[in-house]
Amino acid sequence: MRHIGNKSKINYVLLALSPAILMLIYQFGWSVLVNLSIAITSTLCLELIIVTLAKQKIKSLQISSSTLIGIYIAIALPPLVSWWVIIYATLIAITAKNVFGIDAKNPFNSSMVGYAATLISFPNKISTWILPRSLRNNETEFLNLHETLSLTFNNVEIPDSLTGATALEVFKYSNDGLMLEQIYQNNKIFSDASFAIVGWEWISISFLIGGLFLIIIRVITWHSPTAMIGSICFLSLLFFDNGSSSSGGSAMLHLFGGATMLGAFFIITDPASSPETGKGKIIFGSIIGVLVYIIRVWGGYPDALAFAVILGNFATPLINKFTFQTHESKA
Amino acid sequence: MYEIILIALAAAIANYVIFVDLLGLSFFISATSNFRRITILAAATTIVLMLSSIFILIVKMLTANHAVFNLLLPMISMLIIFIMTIFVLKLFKNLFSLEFSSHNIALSLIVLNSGILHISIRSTNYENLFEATLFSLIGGIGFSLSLICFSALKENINQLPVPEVLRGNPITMITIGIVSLGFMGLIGL
Repeated sequence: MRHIGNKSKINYVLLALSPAILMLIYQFGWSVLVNLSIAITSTLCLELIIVTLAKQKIKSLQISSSTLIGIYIAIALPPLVSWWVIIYATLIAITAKNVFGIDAKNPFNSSMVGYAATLISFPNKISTWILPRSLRNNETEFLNLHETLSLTFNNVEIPDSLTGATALEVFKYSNDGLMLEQIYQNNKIFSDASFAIVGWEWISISFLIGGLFLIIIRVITWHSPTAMIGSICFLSLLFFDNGSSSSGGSAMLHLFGGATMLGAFFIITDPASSPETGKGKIIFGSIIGVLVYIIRVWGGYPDALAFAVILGNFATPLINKFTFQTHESKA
Repeated sequence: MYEIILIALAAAIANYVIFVDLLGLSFFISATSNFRRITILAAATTIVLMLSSIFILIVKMLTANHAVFNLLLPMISMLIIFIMTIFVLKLFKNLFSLEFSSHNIALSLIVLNSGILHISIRSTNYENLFEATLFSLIGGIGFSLSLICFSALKENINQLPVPEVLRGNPITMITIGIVSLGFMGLIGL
């Protein structure tokens, strides 16, 4: 097997993210680029400050890994979110990255720590997503760069014509006694889709393509993505309940609706915070899949990736311990 | 049946009073990275929890007509937990020949009182003895699981090049903070 070093691994991950980033820009416009540039600049500056305070020299691996954190945070936060929310998220993420030692194997996925803290601190800011391209009216379809910048930096309310609930939010909050099919008919975000959810399906597909590319060139292994997607599929089939009013939603909604693909291929395959053995990765992936489903369907938040990843990271050392023990006893 | 599963699920993962209310914080700080020891301690906690919530429920049922006893319930619960803790620790000491120093017992007592009091008083909200037992048992198992996870995590963190000022308790507190972020996601279950 070809050996790929840590540094070039991160470069391949950046490459694999590019189709999804292009798709996000196509769906949501300039604001994604603005988010990306704020987040990356902020993470790099903070990293530089922390490394300088520790009287060390910054290495290229640190630069690329903090760039990656910035990209994940920019993708996870909604477009047109105020600039200081992004700075807040990156501040917490970079602190969480370096608090366990600069250049150390971080036990937690720092970008998800930053995102979760932001989600708990400013739930209103984070839950307003703007509509994907094909759901917008013609007049508000294109925000030019100037308008985007003024919305991001001037702390102005985003016009209502631009915003809309995401598919998971629609499913969670408009679910008062309606059959699944009625929800689908009432909401354009489901009824206008080609196979799952307007806009989001293509974003998820591009994450999927990037992830498959990473598996093929062996930067990541197949274990944890398969386990996570498999467990989400299994649970959503188990609780589908024939589309009744108490249904947990279809597998398509759960796979293409939220951050499932981003999480499965990019977040939970982070080498530092995930288990080391294949068996451990399968357990890790299934724990996260189950938690994502439980929080989405019965919990208080519409999407759950960040929380599930933190709880998965919490269990990782124990998983490592058990899988290594069985390995040793076999040998 | 569905209701019982729901109670069990809620007790095991959702009602994480320990993290959300920061009640058992000192328990986590004192958690050793010795795997066998922590497993035994976790088992002891579960048993204490179950026994004390059963006894507290019985006391509550017997004294249901007396308003004074309702006011005194927290005190009585503490007393029951105190007795149960000493009983179980003595039992475990003989069974597994562990050496608990007096410091350890005192520390566990303080912490068990706060953590267990919460869970056992919560479980007395269920009128049915079976439901209360189930709730406390599964709550105890959830607590034990997180305790064991945390001790493994602590062992892992001890090997990391943590900055000198943060080594020891500070990094443990920060880690608990990050973990409790994750548990925040489970509210509303």
